[in-house]
Amino acid sequence: MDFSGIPQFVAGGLTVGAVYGLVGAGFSLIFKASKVINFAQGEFVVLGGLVTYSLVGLFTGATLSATLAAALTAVAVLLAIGALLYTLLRTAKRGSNEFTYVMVTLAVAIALRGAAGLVWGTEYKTFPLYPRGSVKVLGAVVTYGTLITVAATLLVSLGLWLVLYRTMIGKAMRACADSPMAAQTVGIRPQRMVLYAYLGSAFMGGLAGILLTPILMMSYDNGVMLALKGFTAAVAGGLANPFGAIVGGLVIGTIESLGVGMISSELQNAYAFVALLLVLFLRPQGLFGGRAELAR
Amino acid sequence: MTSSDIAPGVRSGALSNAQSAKQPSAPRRLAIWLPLVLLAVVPLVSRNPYLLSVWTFILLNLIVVIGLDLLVGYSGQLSLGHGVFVTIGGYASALLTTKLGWNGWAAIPAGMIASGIIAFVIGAPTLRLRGYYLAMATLGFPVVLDAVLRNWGGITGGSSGVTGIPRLAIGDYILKDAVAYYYFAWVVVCIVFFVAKLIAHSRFGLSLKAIHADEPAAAARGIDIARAKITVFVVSAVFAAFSGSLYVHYVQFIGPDTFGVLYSIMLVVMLVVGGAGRLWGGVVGTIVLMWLPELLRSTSTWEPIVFGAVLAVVMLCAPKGIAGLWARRAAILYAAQREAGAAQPPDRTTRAVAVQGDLLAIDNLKRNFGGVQAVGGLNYHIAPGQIKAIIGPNGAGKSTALALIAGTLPPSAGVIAFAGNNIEALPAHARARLGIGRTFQHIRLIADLTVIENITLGLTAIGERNPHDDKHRAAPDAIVGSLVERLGLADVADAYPGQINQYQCRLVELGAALAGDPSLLLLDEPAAGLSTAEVDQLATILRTERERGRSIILVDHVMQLVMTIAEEILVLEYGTAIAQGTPAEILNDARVRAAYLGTRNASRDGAAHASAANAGVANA
Repeated sequence: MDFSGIPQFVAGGLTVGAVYGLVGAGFSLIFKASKVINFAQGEFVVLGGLVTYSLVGLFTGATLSATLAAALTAVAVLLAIGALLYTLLRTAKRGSNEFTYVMVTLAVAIALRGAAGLVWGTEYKTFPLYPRGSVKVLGAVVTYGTLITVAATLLVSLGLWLVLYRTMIGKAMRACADSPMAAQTVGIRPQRMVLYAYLGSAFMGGLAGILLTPILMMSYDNGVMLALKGFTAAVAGGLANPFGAIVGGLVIGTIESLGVGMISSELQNAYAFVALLLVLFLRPQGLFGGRAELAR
Repeated sequence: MTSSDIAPGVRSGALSNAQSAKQPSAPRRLAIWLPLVLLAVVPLVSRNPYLLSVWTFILLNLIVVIGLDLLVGYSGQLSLGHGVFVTIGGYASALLTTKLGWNGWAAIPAGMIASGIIAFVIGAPTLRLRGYYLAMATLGFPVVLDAVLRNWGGITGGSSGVTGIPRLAIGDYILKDAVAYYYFAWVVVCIVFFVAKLIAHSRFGLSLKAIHADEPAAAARGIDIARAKITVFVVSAVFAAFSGSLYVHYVQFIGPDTFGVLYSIMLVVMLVVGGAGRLWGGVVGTIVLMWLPELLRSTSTWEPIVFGAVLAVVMLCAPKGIAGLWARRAAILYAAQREAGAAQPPDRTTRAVAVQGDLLAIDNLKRNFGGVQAVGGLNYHIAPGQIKAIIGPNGAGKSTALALIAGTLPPSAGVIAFAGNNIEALPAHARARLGIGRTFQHIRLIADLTVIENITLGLTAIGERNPHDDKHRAAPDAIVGSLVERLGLADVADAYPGQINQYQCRLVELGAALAGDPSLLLLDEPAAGLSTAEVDQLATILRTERERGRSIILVDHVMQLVMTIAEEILVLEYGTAIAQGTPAEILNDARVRAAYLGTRNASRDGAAHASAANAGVANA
């Protein structure tokens, strides 16, 4: 086994890991707000990438500003999809349980994947986004794409932290996560907070797709595995902790990249799966969660 | 006081409700077999080879869906990768027959065992936890298996799969004829349906429903939640593998794409659309959704969108699926228990009464919630056959103390010894099986189960503790029957919790705890909201249980109950004991008066609270 490639594998792992982290943070946000696992999270990522791809084709010139405009429009589309999913869930009968909500998100995931297959076909799509070039770190070639992806993820985490801990909306969201009933008595509308959670997670999913597609390309059916890896990241981070999910994503991405580089690339999708089972078995409360997190 | 003069209006009202919910008649109970009977007619109507093959696939899918219903509909756990077990069964049969020359009949159980083992490996870590971990873990499972199958081409035939799989033979007769195979599959489906029904209506099936509805309540009845969930997952995987084997012996081919990602999702959609939790719902759903693509054939690319839409609409408009449009499922009927209950019930509790000294000994027990000390350094003892009460203002830590003893909450520190053994590290269900029964402050009955079924669940707590005590193991029906009579619930035995009054609900919860034959009974505010007459009746019941040898720890604000039956009262405030003594001593204790009534400097709020409590004391 050759160990000299490790820094390079780690660099590649951090790139995809940052994306897994964003997907995981999306899971965390919705779970924190409503105790629902959103099975459409992976489709958010796919659509983020594919919608941007189509818009880049529309805006002629393929300049950086055109690409950014396409990306922004795609984010808006994703926000609309997030709001639609939320609206759909709101039509559920009063007294519906978690199972109903989870099944509806699954239904939406199936339909979105089917629709993506119809619109974009089965080929992999990509578009140029990152400037060419790289820097050398510890013998690894780190492309600007990697740097931008990781930086964007950290920036989003910082933004999320500021929103959750430094604004009234964020405080209201955290209050609702703790006790919707108590929050209601001080004038907070819990349903509004759940809507924000869906918007936030659609945003992070869409962004993840925009960041990932130029690096690895995107196909309509990538959602399942992206969801699994994002979920693994979220569980590793403690499920109800979006920041833990980002760190969890970086860890899972690195493990996967090392596995692909040093064991077998055919089993690429199996590493996250095994990691999920191991985390659940050894530390179900996540890498950073205390026991209390699990009891909740 | 007899039961006849207790709130007659309420009782008879509840009674007529129960009667209106009378159980389905025999024809109705047979009606759930109707879809299967209709399936038997299919080849008589049309022998079009294509249509017959679709119907055969429906039968094979039914085997998977029926097993999946036990998992999804009964235990409430979601598997989104069940196609994997079908694939494993299929490949096991394919490879063992073609490469090793096994007989098909020998290969089938091998595939089922392999599936069961893999289900255990995935289920053990994911099903110990509450939530949708199994769903997520199984979602990516087909993709992983796909990679493995293609990667190990030397064994599995890679992307081209396995061909030339031999057909099954009965003696010299080879199951080659399409109609013959159809009927063979039909018989298998009927057997599978029958077995699933047996499982669903067993106490194990009731346990699964309880787990689905309320895990803490299930644990309090002595149900080992993780074990039950893992067991049902393994069972459903074994069913799925069986189906896969029968598929490959019919089609004689299997490849990595035969049961892909979408197939697993389809299984869940078929089940949920038909109606999970009723077995025949899945049968209807499978038939409907298997024909849907046939009808949509011209627009097959729209298939996933249509399935997604159908699933969303059903979940939003009729969450119980097609089967949910009919009334509730058939329940265990009381008649059988009533007959058995006429037999002599055991006079005294059979467990742990021979303990020397204290039945329960608590030493320096602590529990913190963040910075709040709910219980701080509690020392407490109770002897066999004693009734003790814990009182105190709201937030004094009474319910927390009970939760710590029952194992619903882990203690922060301290020792709990029960019948001489330390139990503070044991989970709730294990403590229930040792003989600690409990009721909850807020009634936690399983809404989906009848009164008698809720009580029957409590039998689980008898467990395997007294393997040589035939008295209980031989006649569980007798225990339940005599309990129902004793508690005066015979008239509402077949009603659902939503159809009976508050007092009856309390009694059902008490009955479920008593069914486990506890030597220690923990009661959390059993008299809350009861009328004076009902409280008296409850006191009589509790005294009778003490005479049977049970110890009782009672937490309540209703002094009418506490002062009349407790031999000793512990007063808690801010998690610590401020007084302990006989009812008379407690009534005269200065600190208790201060805690309840406040001192001269106490806030108005405290005084208001205390005057309410004082009214209770004065009542006694």
